[in-house]
Formats: sequence, C-alpha cells, structure tokens
Amino acid sequence: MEAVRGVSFEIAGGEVFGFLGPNGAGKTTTMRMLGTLLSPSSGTGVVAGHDVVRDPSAVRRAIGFALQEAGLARYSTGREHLHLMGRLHGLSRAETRVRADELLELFELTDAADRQVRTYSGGMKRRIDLACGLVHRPRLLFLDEPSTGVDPASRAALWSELVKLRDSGVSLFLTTHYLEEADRLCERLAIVDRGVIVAEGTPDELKAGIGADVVTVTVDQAEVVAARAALEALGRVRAPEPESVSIEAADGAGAVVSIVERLGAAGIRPRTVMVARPTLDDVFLLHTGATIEGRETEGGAEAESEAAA
Amino acid sequence: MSGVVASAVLCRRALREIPRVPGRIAFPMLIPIMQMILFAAVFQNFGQYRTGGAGSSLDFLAAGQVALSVLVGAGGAGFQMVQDIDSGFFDKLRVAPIPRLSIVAGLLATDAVRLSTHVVVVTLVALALGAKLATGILGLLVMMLLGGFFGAMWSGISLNVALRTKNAEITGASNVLIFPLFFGSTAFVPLDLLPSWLQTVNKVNPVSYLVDAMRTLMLQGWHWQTIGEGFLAAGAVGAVTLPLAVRAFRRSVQT
Repeated sequence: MEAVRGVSFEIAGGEVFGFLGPNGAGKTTTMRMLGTLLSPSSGTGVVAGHDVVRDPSAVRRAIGFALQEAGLARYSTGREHLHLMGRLHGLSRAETRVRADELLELFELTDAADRQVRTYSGGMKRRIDLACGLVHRPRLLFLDEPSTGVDPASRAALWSELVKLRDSGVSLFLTTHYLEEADRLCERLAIVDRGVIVAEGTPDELKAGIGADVVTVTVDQAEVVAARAALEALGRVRAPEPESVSIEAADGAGAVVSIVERLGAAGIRPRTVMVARPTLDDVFLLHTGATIEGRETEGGAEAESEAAA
Repeated sequence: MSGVVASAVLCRRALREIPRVPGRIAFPMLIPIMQMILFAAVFQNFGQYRTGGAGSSLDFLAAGQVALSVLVGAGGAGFQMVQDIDSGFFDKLRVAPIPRLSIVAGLLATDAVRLSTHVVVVTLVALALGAKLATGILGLLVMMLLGGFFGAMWSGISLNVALRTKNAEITGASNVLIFPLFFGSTAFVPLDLLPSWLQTVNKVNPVSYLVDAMRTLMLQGWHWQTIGEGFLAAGAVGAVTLPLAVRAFRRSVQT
C-alpha cells in the first residue's frame, strides 16, 4: 500500500523545516526515502544536490540522521559510538578523536562519555544519537521525532541544542506530531495528512491563513449583555458565555486597547483580558477536518513503517 | 570509505562488546571443556580410542571438542545482526557512506576472530589435561585459522535466519543443527567403526572434515590432504550459506 503520495517540498540552507502530522501520516516514510533507507516506488528526491535513487552514497555523505528510536549499541560507550561513526564517515583517527570531544562537550556528555549507553537516560540517548549524526559535519540533519521518548525537562534542553545547531549553519529537517515542537522549532512547516502535504508555510503564515485571533474578556455576570453590546462594533462576537465575551480580531493584541476603552466608556471594568492566537491544531483542523489527536486515535493501526514495508 | 576498512572498524566494535556481555564468552567453551573431561574419563578403558596416533581417550576426543567449541559459538553474527536491527543501530550503519556488505563482512570477521580464540582456549585446556599436539605451536595456528574460517562460514546460517526472521529466539535456536551433525560425526568414534549408513552420511558431513583436520594436526602431523579437506569443507559451507545470506541481506536493506 502507499504511505506517501506525491509529496513535494524544498528546504533552504540553514533552515529548520518540519513535517507536522499525526502518526501514520507518512512523515517517517518520506524521511526514510530521502535518507536512502527506503526506495520510493516511483518519483525521486534531491538531497543536498544528489539524487536519492541514483546516488544514495553521495546523499549519505551529505546528511546526518537521527532516527526515531535512538539506534544505539547498548554495550558501547558514548565515545565509542562517536569514534565508530567518525571512522565510518571517512574521518581519520585523529580527526575523529577531536570531533568526538567537541560533540561530547557540545551535548554535555563529557562526564558520561566512557559509560556504556545502556546506562544512559532517555535524554542522554537522544543527545548521543544526535551527536552521532553530526560527527561528519553534515550540512543537513534529518531528525525523526526528535523529542519522542524524551521527558519534558530534557525536551527544552534538546530544543535549545537544536537551535544552537541551526545557528551554526546546519539545516534541520524534522518530523513531529507535537504542535508545540513544530511551533517553537520550525521556521517552515509542511502539514502532512494521509501521505500528502495539505499546507505549507511558516507557522505564523499558516495560522494567519486561519484568520482571526480571539480576545476573551471576563466581566461580572450582570454586565455580560452590556459588554457584548459595547463590543459588537469591533468585530464578530462569539456565542454567549456566562461570564465572558469573546470577540474575533485580525490583530488580537492591537485590539485590546480599543476593547478596554469601549468597555470603559460603557462603565464596565474587565477583570481579565486574554488574547489567543490560532494554534497549528486549528490549521490542521481547517485543512483536514480532524484534529491531530483525533487522527491518531482513528488511524492507530496504520503505522508508518508497516505501511512502507 | 573502503569496504575493508569499514569491515575492520565494525569488527572491532563487535569484538569490543563481547566481553561486556556476561556469559557470552565463557558459555560456548564450557560445554566442550566439560565434555572433554567427562568423556575422556568415561571412555578411558576403550582400546579403540588408541588409534591413529592417539595414546588415550583424551587424545582422541580433544579434537572433536575443539571443533565443538567452534560450532557452539558460531552464530554470533546472526545474533548480533538481530540485536542491531532491534535496537535501530543497524539503520545507523545503513545511513553511513560505506559499502553495505561491509556490515555483513564485519560480523563474519568478528566471528572468525572470536571462534579462533575458542580454539586456543579449548586446545590449551586439552594440553593442560595431558592431550597431545603433534604439530606444536604452528599446528595450533593452523587450527585457529581453520576454526575461525569454518566457524565464520557456519555463522552464515544464523545470518540467514536472522535476516529472514528478524527474531532473536529463532536465530538462537537455529544453531541446534550442529547437534545431529556433531554427534553423528567422527568426533566420538573413528570413521571405520561407524555403521555403514553413518559412514556414508559422513562423506558429506562438513563437521567430520573439520574434526578430522583438527585431529590430524593434534595427533599425526602435517597431513596436508586431511588438513586441506577441512578448509575445503569450510569453503563448501560458505558457498551455500553466504550467497543466501547476501541475498537476504540485500532484500532487507532494500536499497
């Protein structure tokens, strides 16, 4: 069966590009095809100037890969992993040693460098896995679900590592089904559902495509009706709520001042004002008619790797 | 990077890990050493064992147990392959810019090195117990080469099972084939004392050629024909197991 149908996108140098979509959407399959781990049944991909079907080894030299499950040899140490990957990528012994020390430092693994990775925490495994993908200084790094299996505290640390990497000029191509990760990390996103890209752009562009922010004002219950009347001129007011009024505004933050002024003119003092921007889940909903979470529960059996096999 | 260097790098990694897994070194050598001690005692008074240069039952049985240490230990390649596929480490190797067959070659080389150490240890134990080694230290070197080569080719079976089932239990169990072949071989009884149907079977039983070559080196000396047949038998095993393993490997790596 087809896991991916007609997916086409470009990643610029030094950019963080993400594939956002539920499990089973074809993200991993696409990444594995571009990373030469799977042969596409038709079509092609060009990665760092090399055709993935015709010249897979050139692609392998150009990219680094950190796979979904940190693929590590339990009984080897962190340092040994880096040495092995360095040697396999054609670095000399001396170069490999220097590079391994650098990466251990960068990922704060120097103290654990000589322990077998079976003793590492989930976050440490992720970091050594990332470091393995970077030994040969690739210009493009593939990250399949980078924060899956990483606890929330380490996730923030991981993200800041990834930002550092991007700042050093490495392009990142990542897949994720976490909205927050896509939002915080990716400069550009493709939203993927059922093997096709349904939308593409920067997170802000995508959200702007949805339209308005929502400003919610809480007031005394007795004043709700008066508040609705005062605000109707500013924009569409959403369905009534017992102690608050929500109105849509293209620029939510910019609208706050006039909202407060108008309420003041009507003699109403708002207790709280909250601006909510559309989320990527709203974007996904707009394009697919389902939420990411909803898709995952409905299509749980449709595991990506199986679909590709 | 060249395939030879990549294989060597991968071989070193696998060798380095072996002593870190408890029981993985000692276990395959315990069975042959135990059998050698027990059977040498049990058959001590059997006159037939003083044939072909053997002065005692230990002399006669030692070579078979050296061979057994190779057979029991063979299969490390398949075991490692399943582990690496399970952990995802295999994928990491697949995205490295190396000839992919060097992954297989590295595992086979690992088994060759590891199994030749089995030969040394079990032979030294035999010598300590009083067994004979007619060809001396050079003979021991040839025994290592033969054991390593035969064992690596035999590991091709486990690689096939590993790549086709991707299941650690089945891969581990695949080595049971050695028992009928070993117990029916010339390891315990000289060929001319076996019933005629077993003599016929042993014409094509590679284990007997391995045992006979080892025994010649231990008891008689440089009888090149028997020694050569041992190497040929190993080559014949490889001629069957390796092309199939390579095919299974190519299929499982896809590109």
